[in-house]
Amino acid sequence: MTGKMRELMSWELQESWSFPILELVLAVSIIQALTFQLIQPEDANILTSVSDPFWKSMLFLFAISAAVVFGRSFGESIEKRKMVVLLGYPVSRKGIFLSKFFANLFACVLVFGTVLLAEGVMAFLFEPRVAWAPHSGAWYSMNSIAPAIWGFMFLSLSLVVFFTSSLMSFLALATKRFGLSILVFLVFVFGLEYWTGTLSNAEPLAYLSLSRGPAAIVSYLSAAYYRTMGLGYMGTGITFGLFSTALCYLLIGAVALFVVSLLLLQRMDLD
Amino acid sequence: MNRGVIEIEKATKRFGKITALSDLSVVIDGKVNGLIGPNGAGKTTLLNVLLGLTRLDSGKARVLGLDVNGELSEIKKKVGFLPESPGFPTSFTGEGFLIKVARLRHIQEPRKRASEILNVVGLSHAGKRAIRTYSSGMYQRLGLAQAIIGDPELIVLDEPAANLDPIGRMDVLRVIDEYSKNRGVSFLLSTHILYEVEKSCDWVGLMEGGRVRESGSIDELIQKSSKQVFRIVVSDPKLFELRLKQSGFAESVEFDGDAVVAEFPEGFDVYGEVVALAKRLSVRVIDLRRVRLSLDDVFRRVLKAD
Repeated sequence: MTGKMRELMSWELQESWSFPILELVLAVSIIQALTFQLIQPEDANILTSVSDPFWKSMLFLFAISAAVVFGRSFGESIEKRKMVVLLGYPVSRKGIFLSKFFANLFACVLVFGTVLLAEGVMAFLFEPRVAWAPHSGAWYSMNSIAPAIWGFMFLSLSLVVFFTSSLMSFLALATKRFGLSILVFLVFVFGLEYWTGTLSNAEPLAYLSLSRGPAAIVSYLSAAYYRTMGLGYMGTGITFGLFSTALCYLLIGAVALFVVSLLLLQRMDLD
Repeated sequence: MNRGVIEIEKATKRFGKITALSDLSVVIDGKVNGLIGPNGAGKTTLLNVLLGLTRLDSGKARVLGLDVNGELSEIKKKVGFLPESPGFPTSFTGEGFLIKVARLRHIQEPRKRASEILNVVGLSHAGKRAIRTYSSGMYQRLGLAQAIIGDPELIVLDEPAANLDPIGRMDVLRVIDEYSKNRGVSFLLSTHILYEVEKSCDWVGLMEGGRVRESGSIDELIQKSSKQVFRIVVSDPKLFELRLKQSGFAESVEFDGDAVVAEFPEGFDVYGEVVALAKRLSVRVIDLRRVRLSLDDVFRRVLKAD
């Protein structure tokens, strides 16, 4: 990473995450995390007790945070002529886009990853029966502190944040307006949630949902992990087709929107 | 085409149905250059083209001998820019912002440089304050500071005195004067305030409808427009004004106090014909002299002619 990129990223972080944005995102994260369906000792299945409710509960947070952070970073900076000021310095449009995008993406993943970690700690505290030791069965168990499954959740979370970030960047650059881009984003995300909610679990299109899709990715990877480790069969109902629909939608969608956003900024006339 | 600070050749830029720049060709070669013109004349679009913010539909633009299309990064290293209504990061302190700009411009000792520049623009007392607490005048001074911090060869200022009180305006002119005379920096200003232009510019471009209608030094522009404008004091100004209008000698006739101010066509024998007309009307000519117009008059006349 060049010195200019580091400087631009630090500029972006200082500007986009200054008071009260970081504080607000953290506060909403904590409130959302507290509304979790807490794990009962007798019902310690990580997928049904932790993963599924996590995505349902946290989608609102991911969506709003990505909308605000990326909407401000791109839409508002064009609207309020901050982008024009930045482009007057010896930095390229590509450099500005990449530094803004990745600074905010890493910050979002860090904040939400911390929330996930906090959830893991809470799960551990609520499962006193599990003897926690480096080589204990907890590592391979189905119970709520199985670290590999938390790892899959983090992977899935990063993918959702990447997708929402790319989508919001695209909308902010296409509309050049903060408010309008947020409105379109929320209508799209929650409209899609409503529509996919009407579909059955067996339909691949149902996994375009930003809550059901990541949960399916975690379930499929967990089952594959158990199978590979020789720990037995885990019945999740997620086939490879459903898993790949969810994965490809998020990954290819995120990459495509990222590239289109970069091209939009590079070709944009700023007046 | 001559080599100038800025060279534009057959530049056209359209935004939908609006033509912002229309086949514009101009060489800007003064030390302090001013673009004046009404709203929508294309001044800001022209400045944006020079900084690569807006791309031309056709034509070429060169800044300090560098092509805007292929050598933009080199241009940005040599040019300081203050856009119209700039957006600065309001959560930063003034000093913190300038330090970051200095780092982006690879300036040695950015803290020291930021502190020096705050002093130059008269903001040293407010360097530690968040930009959000600045008044609009302080904000504009900060804009000037970020434009000059990199010791550029050319400084482009779009409405530099906007939001400034008279003292603030004088300070901007002082900085322009100091940097152009003592440091050899060239300037390109776009402004509505003709006083700023008259006070500081040695080259002026008068823009309208996406073109430069007139250009040159202020003296050249004024002399060119003043050539055939005369102030005539006669014993019966009302009668004389009426008959002068009826005669069709003058392109425009108007009162200025007790005198008649008239503009005659190129090559017209003003002294002979005016005196002859007065004689026919039995009116005594008390004073007849060429008028030196102000830049404001030139501006109005050029726009009126179109």
